Amino acid sequence: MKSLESHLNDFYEGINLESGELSEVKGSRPPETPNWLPFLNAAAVISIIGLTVLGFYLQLKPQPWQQFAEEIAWNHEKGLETEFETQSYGVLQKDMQRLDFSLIRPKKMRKDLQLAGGRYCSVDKCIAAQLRLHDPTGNPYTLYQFKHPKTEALSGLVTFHLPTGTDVTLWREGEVIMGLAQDKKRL
Amino acid sequence: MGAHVSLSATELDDLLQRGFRYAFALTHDRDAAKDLVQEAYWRVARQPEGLWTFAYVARVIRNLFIDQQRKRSLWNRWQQHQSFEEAVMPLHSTEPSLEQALQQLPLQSRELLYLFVVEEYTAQEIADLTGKPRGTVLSTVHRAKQKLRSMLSETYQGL
Repeated sequence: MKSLESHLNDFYEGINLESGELSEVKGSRPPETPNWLPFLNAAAVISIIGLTVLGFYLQLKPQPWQQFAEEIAWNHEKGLETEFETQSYGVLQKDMQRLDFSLIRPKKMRKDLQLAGGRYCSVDKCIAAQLRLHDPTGNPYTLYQFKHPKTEALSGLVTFHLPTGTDVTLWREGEVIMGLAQDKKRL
Repeated sequence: MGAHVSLSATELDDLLQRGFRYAFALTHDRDAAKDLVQEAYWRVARQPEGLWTFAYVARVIRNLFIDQQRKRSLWNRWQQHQSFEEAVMPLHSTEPSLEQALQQLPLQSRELLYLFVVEEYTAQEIADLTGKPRGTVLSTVHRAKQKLRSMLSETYQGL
């Protein structure tokens, strides 16, 4: 009686490449790798590394929103006089010709804030319009409008509650950054 | 072929035949086994002469086979049933031949059984090749033998 092991050995001994098949295996050549393929692979690897580094860089580099908010809050708290007094954004736009953008009535700001006038200012070395507003009860608000290289990176509303007692909310409308400052708890 | 090895023609033929049998144990398909050996030969031929051993050839074949299985399962979801760990063929209604019985074994069992019985690898050598614990190798081989014996009890008396 043969054992299972013997049967298995016999079975696999019968599994062979025919002599023609054996010659075929030994005589064949591997498919040629296209000359450009290594370069393509290298380019892909470099691209992946580059994108990864860029991703880290963008993620780790702090956005300037906090700095903007602090500048706006500081100017709001100073309460400087306006250079141009008007309740019309259109008139103010004509008065403030040195701006490198068009002043607009913000769409995302509460509607009951009344414009009182404006003056030139700056945020992070960018020329800005500092607008004075007030609500129906007379509380003062300061609205900043300015164009900054980082404008595109600002999405949604970003609010900062600063230790000086001023709240500043930043958002973007078109190519312009809006920054609304007010005394705490009135927004 | 660009391979320059100092194995004799007979030794090289023997190595390729052993590789073919191992590939057959994995695939249970002559054409697929031949393709695996062919590709393994191309790869091994680029390596230094010292690597021209069955252990190395088997490792190359095994890696190629696993790669194939992965690609296949990506493209054909239904073929996941034939994955490396689970491939099982439908049961035969009548007493199967040894070949049919082997085909019914899970792929992993068939591979380990082949290495243990035909190549006479030790459990530790199989564990090193396949990355499975030695105990798993022994129990898998034991269960594979039991299953074969139960399937072949009438065909091969005295197993």
